[in-house]
Amino acid sequence: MRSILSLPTVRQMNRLLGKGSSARPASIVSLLLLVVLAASLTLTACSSSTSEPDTFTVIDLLGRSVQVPSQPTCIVTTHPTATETLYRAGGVAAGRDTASKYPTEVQDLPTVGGSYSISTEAVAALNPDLVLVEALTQVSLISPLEELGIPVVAVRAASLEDIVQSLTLVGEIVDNDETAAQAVTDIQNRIDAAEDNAPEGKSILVFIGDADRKIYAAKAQSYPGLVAALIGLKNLAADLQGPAPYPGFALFSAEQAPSSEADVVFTITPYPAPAPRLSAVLSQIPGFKEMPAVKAGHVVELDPVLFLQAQGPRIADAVEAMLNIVNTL
Amino acid sequence: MRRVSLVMGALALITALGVLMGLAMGPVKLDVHQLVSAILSSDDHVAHVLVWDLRLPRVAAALLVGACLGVAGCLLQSSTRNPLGDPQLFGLGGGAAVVQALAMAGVIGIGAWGLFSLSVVASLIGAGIVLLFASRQGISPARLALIGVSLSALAAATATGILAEARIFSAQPLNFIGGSFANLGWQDVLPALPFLAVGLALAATVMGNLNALSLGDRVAANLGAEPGRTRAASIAAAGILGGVAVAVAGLVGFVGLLVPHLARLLVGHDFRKVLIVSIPLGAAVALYADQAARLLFMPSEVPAGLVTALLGAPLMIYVARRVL
Amino acid sequence: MILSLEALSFVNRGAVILSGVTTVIPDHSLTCLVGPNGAGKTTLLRILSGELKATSGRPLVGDADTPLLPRRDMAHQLSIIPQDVQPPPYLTVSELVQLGRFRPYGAVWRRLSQQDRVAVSTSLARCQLQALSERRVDELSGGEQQRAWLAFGLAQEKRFLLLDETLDGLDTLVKKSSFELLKEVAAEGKGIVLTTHDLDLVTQFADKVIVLTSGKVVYEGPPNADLIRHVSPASL
Repeated sequence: MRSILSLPTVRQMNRLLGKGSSARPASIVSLLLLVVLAASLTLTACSSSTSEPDTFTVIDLLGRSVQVPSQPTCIVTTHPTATETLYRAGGVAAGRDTASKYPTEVQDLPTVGGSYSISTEAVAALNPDLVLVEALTQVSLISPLEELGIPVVAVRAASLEDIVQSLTLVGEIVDNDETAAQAVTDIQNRIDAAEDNAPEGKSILVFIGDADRKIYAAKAQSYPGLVAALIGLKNLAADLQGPAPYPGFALFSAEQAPSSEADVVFTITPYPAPAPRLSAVLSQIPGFKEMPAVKAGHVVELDPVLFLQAQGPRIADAVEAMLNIVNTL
Repeated sequence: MRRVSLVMGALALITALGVLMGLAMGPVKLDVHQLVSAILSSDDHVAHVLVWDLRLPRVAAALLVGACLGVAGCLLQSSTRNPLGDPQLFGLGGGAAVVQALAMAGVIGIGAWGLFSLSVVASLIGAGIVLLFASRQGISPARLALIGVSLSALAAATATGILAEARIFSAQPLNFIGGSFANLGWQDVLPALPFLAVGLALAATVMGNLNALSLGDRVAANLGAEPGRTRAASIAAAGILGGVAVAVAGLVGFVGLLVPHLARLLVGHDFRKVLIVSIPLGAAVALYADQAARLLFMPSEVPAGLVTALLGAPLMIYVARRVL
Repeated sequence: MILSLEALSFVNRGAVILSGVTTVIPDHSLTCLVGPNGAGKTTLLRILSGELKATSGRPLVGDADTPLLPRRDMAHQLSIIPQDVQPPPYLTVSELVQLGRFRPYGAVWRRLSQQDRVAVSTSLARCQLQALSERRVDELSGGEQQRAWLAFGLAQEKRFLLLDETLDGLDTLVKKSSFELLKEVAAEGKGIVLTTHDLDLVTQFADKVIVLTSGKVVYEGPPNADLIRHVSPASL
């Protein structure tokens, strides 16, 4: 007589389930699914509250009117701009995208995908009561999340006004208006100080390259272009026309390079090491190696995180970094 | 021989015209006077740099790569008795493409000479595989071409994978996958010359036997044409030339396919003549393809490989239908 | 000058193809090699031409062992048209026959000499191919292609010419005139070996007949009454 304490063999389980021995893998799979589902339920970051939260209406950077909870407890951010704006305004996040690494305390948070491939399921699994997205690149996230009943607020950092507005907005949402206002003043002061210290009449270019050794220069409406304009540097590519894979940049032809009078050339290399840095490669590219700035060695690498990926409250850091380079060259 | 001389003369003229076009035309236009002074003196520094450092190396690269590919195609078509013979199609350039990807990702940091040597070695591996299959009795041309295409696809996928892993993305299809002469300097072209010389020398040692090879290995062996050795040397030479071409400009496809067929139309079926003519003809084809690539949508550029594909793919379909 | 085989055996993957073959191929004559399919005729020719190595025994060209002769010397002495030759792509009949004048030395620069041209035109005339000389070989009928290959073989003007069933695809009249042609060429001093199944024409034209059955020579001599006794047409 079989003891009821003994575990059923797989074959017995299969017979119970009415399947043949060939279904062995199927039953293991169904078991695994059960385990995963159970685990995901226990790992949910925020438990759903039973009471209706109070809400109020805000206008976000896309001009949308959004009903947000008055004391959000579980905010998920999907972009470094959103993450840094939130923390600078005195809030905390419960989940982030993989590119958000600042401030350091966010690195322990669960992730929901890369900025270009956010998983709405992963966001939903954290059960947030608010999601902060980036207005220029993440508009497509808004509808799916709202359909799940999650309010979405978009922030932006394409200009100084944007940054101020985003900080103020988020400060209002997390009920930390003083911290946000302080942050705004702080940033403004630092930028003003930098502007005072900036040299006169220096012309610059900001380059980014692609794998085919084509060079693109930052225009006025790009973030690096914005930073340069804040300290009065003359961006020689401010109105450049031409295609580019990066928004706000334009193709800089190698034939124009030798006659370019830029005093300083900044370079940004978005690829991680060990790929070679553009500042090192620029002197190898025909045409560019004849640029007076390149020949004089006035080529400096900028931090891609600060100047490209994490646009936002750290603009003051970016301004100071650029000023420092220009002043020491 | 007179016909060959005539054809060579015409090709030289056409090529010279193409070179002129390549030096004078572009986003910054130079008239003849400016061009001549730019070449001869460095008074107008900008024009001088433009011509000597930007446009001339690019023209030289196109000529060199075109010649390599034309000869390689001719060698492959004659030694494997396959009208679809082409170094890219047969997977000879694949290994070199992987090496280029590794260099771009910063995984291997050797100088230009090392890079070229490694690319050639990698191509010779591909050549070895092709030789293995081509030497089998009774392998059909279609099967050999399929094996080569698979090798090429595998190599391109590997190269793309390496770049994706290194997070090196490009908004357009990568130039080096499409094949392009853009942004090439003298340091990209000069190391190729010795390899070109070696490849051509190797081809010259067996050039005389190629005609006999078309009669089948048994008859060729009986004539004293040493089919085994000839085929091995031909494919090795094609590997060297194909590898150098990829190391310079990426996967410029279809030139090796196109040029021998064109040459045959011009000078007949003697493979010795076809091979000689393939040198300037290949150079001219690549040069003009590059000019089209860079001037048609100025200041934007398309990869030269796109142009050669537009010309070569229909030809490939035509040949495949007729012969396979 | 003769080609000879002494006690030749050839074994391939355990199967005995030829055993104890001792025979002589003289020049100045047309030798016909007959026998049922699978008897080993093709293998014999391939050993004679130096393409295959015998398992035991000696093939000789004159006094020299064939395997020891450099390939170029063999190329100088002997030409072979294998069975199932594929027509070369692109080439015309006259271009094919011209390739018969190939010499391994200096092949890169070599152009047709006056002597070469005479040999080519003579071959084309003798094989009655003048009308077809500018046609592509791969566009001809099977029989016409065989004649083109025959012309290719003749144009080489080497001392020995080995033909593996080259004439068997031709129609009766053409076949007969081809046999006549070969007999003429043999009389001029060449040694011709032809494998064939056509016993009538063999009896009419051959100077010497070698009958091969299951890898053994069962008859070697002139085509006389003895031959008929050894071989019945049905067994071929």
